Amino acid sequence: MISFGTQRRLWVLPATFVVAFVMFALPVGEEWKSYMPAWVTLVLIYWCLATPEKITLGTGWLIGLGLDILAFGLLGRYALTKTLITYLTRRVALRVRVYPVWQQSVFVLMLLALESVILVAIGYLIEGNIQGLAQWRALAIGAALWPFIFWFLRHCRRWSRLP
Amino acid sequence: MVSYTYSDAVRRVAGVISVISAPVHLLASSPVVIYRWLDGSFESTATLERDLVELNQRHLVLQTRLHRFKALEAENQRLRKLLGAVSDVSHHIQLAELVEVDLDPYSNTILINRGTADGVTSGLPVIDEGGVVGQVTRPGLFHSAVTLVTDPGQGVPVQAVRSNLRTITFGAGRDGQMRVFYVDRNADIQIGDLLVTSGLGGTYPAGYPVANVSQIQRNVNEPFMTVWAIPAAHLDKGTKVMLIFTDHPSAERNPGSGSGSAGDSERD
Repeated sequence: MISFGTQRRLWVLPATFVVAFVMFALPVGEEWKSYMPAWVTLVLIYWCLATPEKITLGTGWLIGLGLDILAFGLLGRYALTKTLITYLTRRVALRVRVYPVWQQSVFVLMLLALESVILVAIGYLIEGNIQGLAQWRALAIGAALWPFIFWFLRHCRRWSRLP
Repeated sequence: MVSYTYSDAVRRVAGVISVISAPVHLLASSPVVIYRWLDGSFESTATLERDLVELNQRHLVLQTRLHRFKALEAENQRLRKLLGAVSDVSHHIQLAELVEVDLDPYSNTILINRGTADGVTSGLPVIDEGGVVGQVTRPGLFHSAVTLVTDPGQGVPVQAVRSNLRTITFGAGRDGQMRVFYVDRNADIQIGDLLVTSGLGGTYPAGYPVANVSQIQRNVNEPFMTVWAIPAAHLDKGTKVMLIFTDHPSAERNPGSGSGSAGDSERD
């Protein structure tokens, strides 16, 4: 039983996602747009690795749908990629979480690239043209930022006393 | 290519649900809003006074020109009636502000602070003081996404003012440029030509500036020229845009919609 003083701060987990959503919508201008990493995906990967039992496929799907609504885009586009990322990360979570952080970065890079490829492919199917190839920079930056995000979110998790 | 459509119910529900994104957009746009506010409050009185004088003069000049245009418009309508031609449809304009957020890195869209609650519908043309910005593609309840004319999926039927050449522009998908398609090898087009909407297709009303021709490349062994253009609208600088509502003379317009904010809607 949880005693006083060790009560879990359950709001921290959703709060990190809200921050990621805000970062996603942050106006950075046309020339910096392609440098912005996929914050929501990075946060999602962290929580899938740290607490695979908390983030179910449904959670991933809901987060993706929220992102679709936030982006005023085609409904279900991000929902699909986020569900897929949740599935893949949960699948290998117990193995990947014991890797050194730089190896996790490689894993994160692969996931980010997969998401990007799917998004570009959907764009091609719908619009008939390829857009967003400039986003490859964001993939590299996302993977490079992973150690910091990992460190920051681990502090958040410990502070919130989640397992 | 795959095409898709939402049922009416899904579209309506998605529009209403889009309201939950408002707090996130508010937070995301706050740095820019605060910066603008600080920038404005530190401006000196002298600068403001100078601006005011300048604006007053411009207003006077434009007002004078407007009187002439009104007379010309009336004359035009009269002549059209004499010819038995269809009279021009009238438009009314509603102001909207840009919400300073990035919607999606994979598309060329902007967000404006008007939605279905203000009478905004899908396909509504959006302009700014320079020219055509784009059209509303995803209306929400209080906010709507506008796809820019620089999007590769957006075609605008245009007409060159100098030569009356009719053609279509598409977004080039890079550097905010546009491509002009289906220009014959010996067509009359020059660098600097102003392209305005031709009114064909029905989405954009005729006569609004779209782009200026910036680069022409004649290909000897191809039937069409490669023509580039720069959009006339201030796509990266502007903060205010205008929505053009078309008042069809035959169709009855719902008086309740479109005049939700009576203060900033005006007729032209």
